[in-house]
Amino acid sequence: MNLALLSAPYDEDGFRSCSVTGLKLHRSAERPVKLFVITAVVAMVLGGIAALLVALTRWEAVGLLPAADFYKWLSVHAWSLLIFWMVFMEIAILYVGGPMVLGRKLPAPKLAWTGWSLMVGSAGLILYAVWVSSPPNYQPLLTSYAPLESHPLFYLGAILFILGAVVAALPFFTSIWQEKVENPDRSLPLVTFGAFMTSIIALEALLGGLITYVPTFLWRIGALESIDASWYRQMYWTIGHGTQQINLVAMITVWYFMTYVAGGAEVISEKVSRSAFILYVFFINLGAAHHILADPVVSSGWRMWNCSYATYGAVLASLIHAFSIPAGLEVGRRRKGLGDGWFGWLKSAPWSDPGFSATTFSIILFGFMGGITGVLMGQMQLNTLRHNTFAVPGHFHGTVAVGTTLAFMGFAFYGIKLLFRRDWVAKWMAKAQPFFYAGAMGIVVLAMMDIGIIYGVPRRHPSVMDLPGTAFDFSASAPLFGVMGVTAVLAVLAGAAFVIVAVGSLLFGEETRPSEMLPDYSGLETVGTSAHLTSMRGTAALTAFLLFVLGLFYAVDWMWLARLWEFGA
Amino acid sequence: MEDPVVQRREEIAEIYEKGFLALSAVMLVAFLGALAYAAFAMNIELPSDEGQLNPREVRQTEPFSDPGPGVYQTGPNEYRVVLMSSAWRFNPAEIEVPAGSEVTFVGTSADVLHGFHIEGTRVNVMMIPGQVTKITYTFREPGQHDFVCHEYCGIGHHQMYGELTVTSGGEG
Ligand code: HEM
Ligand SMILES: [Cu+2]
Ligand SMILES: [Cu+2]
Repeated sequence: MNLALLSAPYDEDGFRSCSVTGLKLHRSAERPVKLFVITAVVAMVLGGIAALLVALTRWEAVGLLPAADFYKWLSVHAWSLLIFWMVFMEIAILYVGGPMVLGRKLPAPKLAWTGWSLMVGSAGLILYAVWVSSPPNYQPLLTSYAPLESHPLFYLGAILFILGAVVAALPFFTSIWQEKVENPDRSLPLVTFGAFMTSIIALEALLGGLITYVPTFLWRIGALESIDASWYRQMYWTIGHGTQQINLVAMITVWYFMTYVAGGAEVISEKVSRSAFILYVFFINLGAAHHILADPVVSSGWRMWNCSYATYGAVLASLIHAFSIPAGLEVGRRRKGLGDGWFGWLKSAPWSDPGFSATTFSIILFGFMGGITGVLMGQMQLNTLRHNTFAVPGHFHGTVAVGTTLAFMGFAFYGIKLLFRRDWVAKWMAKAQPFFYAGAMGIVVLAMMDIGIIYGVPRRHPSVMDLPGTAFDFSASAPLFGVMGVTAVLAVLAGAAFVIVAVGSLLFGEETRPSEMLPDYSGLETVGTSAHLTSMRGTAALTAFLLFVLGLFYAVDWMWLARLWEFGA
Repeated sequence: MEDPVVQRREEIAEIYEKGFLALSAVMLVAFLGALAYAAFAMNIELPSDEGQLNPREVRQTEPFSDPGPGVYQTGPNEYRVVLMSSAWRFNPAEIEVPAGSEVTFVGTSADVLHGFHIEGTRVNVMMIPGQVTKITYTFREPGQHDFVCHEYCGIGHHQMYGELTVTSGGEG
């Protein structure tokens, strides 16, 4: 076991340079990053166990848990993965995207530790509250819709977690501010810019979260007499959806970073990529309105504004990244002589490098699964088809479980080498993991979507096959639930493979020397300007296909809806 | 002054980007068109706002006090269902209407959030304390539809459902 301290690579000021990324890393930033990443992985273990229990309950042929336990584990699953795994990773990403990419020390490292302690403590509080809840304290699941009452400590935990995340983000903001003061004329690198936009959206979301949870907590302990259900719903989604935007923008930042280090990408147009990030800041909160399209209280005009103009502002931003990231990879590789023809640059790519494959699968699956279904569901009439059916978890596992989680896994694979300077243990497992996870989880997502849209099976529901006293049930969907169940088990195993490689490498991995770490594209730099070397036709074909599929499903959904609506009948 | 490689790359990028953006924009405008057409030309209605009420006094507020939850015939082929949702049951939980009737559901919740989705139809709405939800649907074919509560409403959430029967009785 290799617990000995690594040879000290730092210079007197505590900096060391990373030969792969060319970054100057300071000790003060490295340590908190490690801490946050490790904590995120621990949360993932818990969330993964919960995923298994929840999935095996919904697969009613197995029907593992009774209803009360199902709701409990569903709460554990949602909070451990969507909140703890993601947010701890995101703080780490802020520290990498900020101080590390800028080659600075982490300012006020004490705040990082304070934030971390607060976050870990409050996460514990939330899980404790979930654990001890029994009526009249109901399980919160993710959303804790008031006036359904959850354990008071749950709301307190949520408030403290938000505060902890804000505290943990402060060193990042300070480093941006310091950079701007010291180098007023230098623009932030794109990755830093992306991290910065992430943090702005995060602040908006966290503020919304405080406005939501503080009154709700006061109401729960009796200091406020009542709470308005539709107020809560609208307010909740400023953080509920806002955090998803954090996940999105953090993931896109990781995409830029990883395609660059693992794939040799370039940024084709700084201006366009930056504008796309800015579009998010403006439109994303309005887009959050799609969560309450089935509510009576909102007017048609309001629905239309939010679900057309505002949502499409954000969709446009995503489409820009959907083009510029693969295009950057294509041009970067072509110019280094790595591939020719239409898709040579993809064929020659380092598919056996889990950092690269995880990132690429994340991009593809996010676009085709999470992205497309999101545009469809966000459309106010089409929303009717999917609202609160199993297609909703289908959609967001397409975004967070294959999209963001896979990107973060790829990022963590690299972190092990770049930050911890450990080689991966069980290399075959590391190489296979992204394929295994993307494949299994991809099928889980498809099955969820189909179950929801074809059979109308509701989400968050432990027993739809048997509705005593009625002639009708959902048993026609049983075969698809079987598909989901089996692939869910495989996906959890693939998640376990990630944890084994990650933890195993940290404990037992050999120390790597910078020179043998990761792909080195610096030697390949060729200067070419011929049209052939800067062609983006492969990307053009792929993204045109994405738009085609989007259009196709849009049309199919309308036909499906038309049938339900009985147009012309 | 600029690095010629960078410049060249950006020129090329621009051509591709413009093409892609134009295509995306056309598509999003077409989506907007579909939305507007559906809303204005086809008159597709989503669950609409029937007003607010004091959630503590639901049972003293019309129509939930009078005529109260139930199925009422309001015209030759028209019915009105006053639907009360509460933890963990729908009232009425059994609804019967003849084929061809146009049914208007007017509902609310007496306690926490609930959801109301009639399987195989586009009736898929929220029931929110303090808000009245209205939605209309015409049932043409005789048959049976389940409706389930699709918003988590506590430990009995999965036991909250009902059944709507369309009888062949009425000639539509
Ligand atoms: C092995 C991987 C996973 C499997 C098999 C899995 C499976 C499931 C299942 C079966 C549900 C219940 C759906 C329902 O009944 O409504 C669910 C809910 C959920 N999952 Fe996952 N999941 C996985 C990974 C993830 C990841 C990585 C995330 C987030 C990063 C995530 C976030 C959620 C959330 C937020 C919910 C909804 C909870 C709620 O309704 O409040 N899942 N998942
Ligand atoms: Cu209910
Ligand atoms: Cu319910």
